[in-house]
Amino acid sequence: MLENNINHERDEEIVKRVKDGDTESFGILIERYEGKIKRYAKKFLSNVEDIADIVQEIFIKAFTNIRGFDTDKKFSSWIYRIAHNELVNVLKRKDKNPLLFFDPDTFFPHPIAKETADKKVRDKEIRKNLDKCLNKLSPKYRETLFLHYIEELDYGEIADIMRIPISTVGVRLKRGKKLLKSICKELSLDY
Amino acid sequence: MTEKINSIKDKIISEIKSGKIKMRPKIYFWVKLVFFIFLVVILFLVSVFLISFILFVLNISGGWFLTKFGWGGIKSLFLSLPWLLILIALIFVFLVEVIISSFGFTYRRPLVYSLAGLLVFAVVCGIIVHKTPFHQNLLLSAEGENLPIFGPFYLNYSRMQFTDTQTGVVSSLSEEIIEIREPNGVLLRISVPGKEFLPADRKIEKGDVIMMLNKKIKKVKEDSPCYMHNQRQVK
Repeated sequence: MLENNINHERDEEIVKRVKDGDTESFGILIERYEGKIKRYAKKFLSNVEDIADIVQEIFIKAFTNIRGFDTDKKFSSWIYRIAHNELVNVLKRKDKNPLLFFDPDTFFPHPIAKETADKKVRDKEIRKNLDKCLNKLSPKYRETLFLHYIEELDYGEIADIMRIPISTVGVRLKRGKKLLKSICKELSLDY
Repeated sequence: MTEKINSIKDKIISEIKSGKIKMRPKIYFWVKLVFFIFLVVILFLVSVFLISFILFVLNISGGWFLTKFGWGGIKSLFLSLPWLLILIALIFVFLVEVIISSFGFTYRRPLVYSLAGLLVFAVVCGIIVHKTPFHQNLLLSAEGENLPIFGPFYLNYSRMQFTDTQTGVVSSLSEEIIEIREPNGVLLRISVPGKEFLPADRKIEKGDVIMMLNKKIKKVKEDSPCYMHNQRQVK
């Protein structure tokens, strides 16, 4: 019964307990997010050791800074934000075309495309081929597509993680999908 | 794979238990927030100070008066604008934008909105400060040599010269020659090529403050700060 309650407990409620001194509950958050963060890191790093180290570093940073987390906000966005920063730093160190510090797309407004009736079907098709083609995309499109189609985060959450305007998320998804389509065609995959 | 995941979790939890990894105290985040707010306020105040100072020096040195000469005057004003001060003020506004762009209310919208909003707000605050006697009092202190550090800054900029212009008090005049004394005490003899170069609506008399752009002469309004400032200098 207790275990069932814990499993259904919101992340933010667990954070509250951790802040109040129940530090062992942080393990529940690690269990919930380790796989996701690892999957996220894998999209940018290939070395298994590097991935394990960075995942560990992300959780250590999350624990160290947990008192700075506002429990009225989503924990998932917060932990992904820490992961984003860590990955940017690692890519900078490795000089692997890191996510840009300044992107002109973040400066000017862009119209957000309206959802169409066949969006769910199209999204399913995109998800099917995403893993095979994603690594061919530049990091800024790769990250946006990954967070939206694999982690199923909405525009607002992605904006909070990457600290970019919501309209820029829409632009990157649109351009990313277009690029993905051409990459998939090159690889002779269905899109 | 599961073993590896468990080992990461176990390792972190055991390090938390042993005290190797500790939570930062809440005060750390408060201090950080207060520091950010303090930094934003300071940078913003510096930009407002610079904007109001730019408006003040343009007013006191008769810069706005140049627009009365038409396009030639506007060109002279544009060429003589204190571009270095304008650039520094813009840099400070941009620094404020960079700091506040880490907050959701800024980054969720295109940066052009927050930057434009910030710039407009800084200019409005600058105009409000400019309307107060703040800079006038500081200039008076600078002239009385009672303003350390900023004194030379105020004196230099308040006497700024505009491209192709001369300003001074008329000391003597005839049909063809006008003599003016500039704020720095230099006497200038100006030959007037024709009546079309003189103001049609106002007669120039001895003691008037006039501004000349490419030999075209305008009488400065007597209540203008330029007149007051220049007269104080001449006397």
